[in-house]
Amino acid sequence: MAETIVKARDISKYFKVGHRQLKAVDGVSFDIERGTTLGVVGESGSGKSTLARVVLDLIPATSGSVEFMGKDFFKLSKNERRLLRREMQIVFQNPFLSLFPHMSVSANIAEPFIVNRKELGRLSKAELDERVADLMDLVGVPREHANVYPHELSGGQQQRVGIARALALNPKFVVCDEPVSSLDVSIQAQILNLLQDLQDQKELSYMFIAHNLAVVEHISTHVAVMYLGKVVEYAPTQELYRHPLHPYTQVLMDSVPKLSEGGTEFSGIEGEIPSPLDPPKGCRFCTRCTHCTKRCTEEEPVYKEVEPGHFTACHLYD
Amino acid sequence: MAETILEVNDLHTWFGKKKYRFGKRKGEFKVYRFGKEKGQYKGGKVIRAVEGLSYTLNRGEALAIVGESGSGKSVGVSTVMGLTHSGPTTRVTGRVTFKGQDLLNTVSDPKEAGLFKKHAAIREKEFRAIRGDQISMIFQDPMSSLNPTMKIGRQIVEPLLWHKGKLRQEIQDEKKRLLNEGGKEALKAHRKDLRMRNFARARGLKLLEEVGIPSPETRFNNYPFEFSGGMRQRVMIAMALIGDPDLLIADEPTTALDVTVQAQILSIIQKMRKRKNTSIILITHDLAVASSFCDRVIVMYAGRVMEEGSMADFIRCPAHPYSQGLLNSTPILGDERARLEAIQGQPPDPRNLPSGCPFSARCTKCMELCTREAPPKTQLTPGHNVYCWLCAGEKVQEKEADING
Ligand SMILES: Nc1ncnc2c1ncn2[C@@H]1O[C@H](COP(=O)(O)OP(=O)(O)OP(=O)(O)O)[C@@H](O)[C@H]1O
Ligand SMILES: Nc1ncnc2c1ncn2[C@@H]1O[C@H](COP(=O)(O)OP(=O)(O)OP(=O)(O)O)[C@@H](O)[C@H]1O
Ligand code: SF4
Ligand SMILES: [Mg+2]
Ligand SMILES: [Mg+2]
Repeated sequence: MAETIVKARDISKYFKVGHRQLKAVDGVSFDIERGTTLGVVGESGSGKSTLARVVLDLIPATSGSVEFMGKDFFKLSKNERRLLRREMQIVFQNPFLSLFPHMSVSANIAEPFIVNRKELGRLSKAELDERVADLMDLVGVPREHANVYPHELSGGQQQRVGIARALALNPKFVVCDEPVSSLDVSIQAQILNLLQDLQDQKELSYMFIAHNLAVVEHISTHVAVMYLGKVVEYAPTQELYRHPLHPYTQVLMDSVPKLSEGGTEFSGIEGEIPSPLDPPKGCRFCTRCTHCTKRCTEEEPVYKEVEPGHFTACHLYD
Repeated sequence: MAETILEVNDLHTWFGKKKYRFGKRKGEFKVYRFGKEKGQYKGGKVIRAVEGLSYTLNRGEALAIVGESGSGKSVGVSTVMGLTHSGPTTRVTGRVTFKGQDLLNTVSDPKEAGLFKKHAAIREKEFRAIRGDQISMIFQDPMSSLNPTMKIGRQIVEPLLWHKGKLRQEIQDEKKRLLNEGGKEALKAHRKDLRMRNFARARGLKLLEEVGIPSPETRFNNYPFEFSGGMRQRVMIAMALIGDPDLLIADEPTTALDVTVQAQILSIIQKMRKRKNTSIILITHDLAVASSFCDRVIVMYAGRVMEEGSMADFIRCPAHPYSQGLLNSTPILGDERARLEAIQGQPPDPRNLPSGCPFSARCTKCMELCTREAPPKTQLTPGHNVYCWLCAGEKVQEKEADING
């Protein structure tokens, strides 16, 4: 049996907007096993980044629990939490904004060692240089770049440095929040391959957030589809892409442009994504769903296992 | 024979270095200018953003321009639109013919172009008439191209009122139609609708409805910030289409949007194209979008064309190593490759292009000749051209012989 690295239960995160409550994430649960990747897809504003930030304890959850390597994260003391947090890291979409612009590449990568010198023990200059050089080799940044500043690097190289820094402390779990969205196709493939290689070498677990469904299919072992703060469908990747059950997932799959020789007709769904400030009553997708019945507008569907390992929340499968 | 709408011939756009110096007056810029020698600036190298772009576009045809960021896709079309033109730090050469009209009357050889030669063939005013009326453009970022302080409705109708002549003509036509159908009575009843502003407004409303904005009457009086990203993009499309353009240039119209919204927007443009037989240039770096939308494709790299041809040819048998690399590194829904074949290396610095083929530094099939001399154009099948020494056939031997002998 594979070891479960992350076990999230009923996570909610509500923001206060004026006098109203914005349910950015509303009752989300998932498991991530060692060496696997959970892909998270969904429309802009569906709460993907918020979920990631709650799981990493970068912002406090409104309710719910996260168990990380068997320990209930939110119940630990401050210091224990800090130690555990070293085991989880994040890679952001905008590589430039996530690096320190006034520090050289090597200083950027060395930063985690210096911040955590108390626990790790102070490293000598030579040791530090060696670790940095190893990391640079690992992610494929040429050593000549050690002393240049981030703005002198291309986007792809910056992202490599960001990954190197995230991996500095040998984490078990890495959240990638749209790590390739701002990169060119040819560079995107390099980074995806790098992430896969690192996963194989170090048995990393990823939570991989992206807009691009093809990218998510390529890299994930399991996929969760989010809509307005809720997970509407979850399944192993192949299963989800071959037999999407939830109408929203089906629309999503149909909307993806495919490589074709003779051109294809596009057909968008009608309707706008509703405001997360007042989501529709009943099923949240009911304003845009073609299968919507009266029941859907009144009663919220329960999220349950419809087929083995395949979860969805839709009245069609009751 | 299909009618040719746009013909671009050997277009070059070069940028020089801007350098800020304090002038006598406040805020005055002083800039370095082109030196006499080709490709040389005083104080810096030239960015050759576009090098020898040529294509023709027929009526109703859709052309995709794909390529890496910084490959000159946007500069290429903004030069065609006249938004980038020769100036103190910019040099444009080449020929752009739109429906027989010369858009930039320039000398084709950069050497011949004098230092401060006036390049504009038609006066700015006339150019503007063409730009808004017959060519329109959809930009990548809808927020920065909408005026945030102006109501949506006014922004849509404005361009119509710039081209009063055309509007007047349409009102006359409408009048005649009414007179024929309902006589003087009908004309009288519709007198208000025939006023220029009201007529334009009605057009705007109809268009908003066509691009899928619900309750356009109320939306007409909203400001851009009250719209979601996808809706703003639809407003941009409505604005671009209101003059019934012959040519629509869409510069990454959906890059920032969700897939569902992207599909919506593309389907709107597709329907418009069918109905009005508009020609389209679509700039994108998403091969899947390009392939499902366009008939023909141009692949650009570092300012140069690498391959051009029909979309079917390109997808079925891409000839250029860069095109092959692009296709191999694009993840596709439903493919079962465990690994993507990435193109190794980084795109070159635009200031410092390698001599010879610009792709040579990343190409796995690079030969010695490639790094020395730029590859010539080779026709594979009619309309399918590639710029690569691998496909050049006899020319390679000729060149080798030249060098050795
Ligand atoms: N600090 C905050 N205060 C108030 N609302 C917030 C805050 N952060 C996020 N939100 C709201 O929470 C919702 C979810 O946001 P989130 O950034 O998680 O979406 P996302 O799925 O990551 O979208 P994207 O794909 O655009 O990154 C949005 O409606 C957003 O406006
Ligand atoms: N006004 C300008 N002055 C100087 N250089 C410019 C200017 N505009 C563009 N460039 C340069 O010209 C080159 C081509 O830029 P362009 O915007 O056409 O790229 P693109 O293919 O549209 O890329 P993207 O996919 O990122 O939009 C780039 O190297 C850019 O830095
Ligand atoms: S010309 Fe040479 S370097 Fe350029 S793409 Fe062809 S084979 Fe590669
Ligand atoms: Mg996000
Ligand atoms: Mg561009």
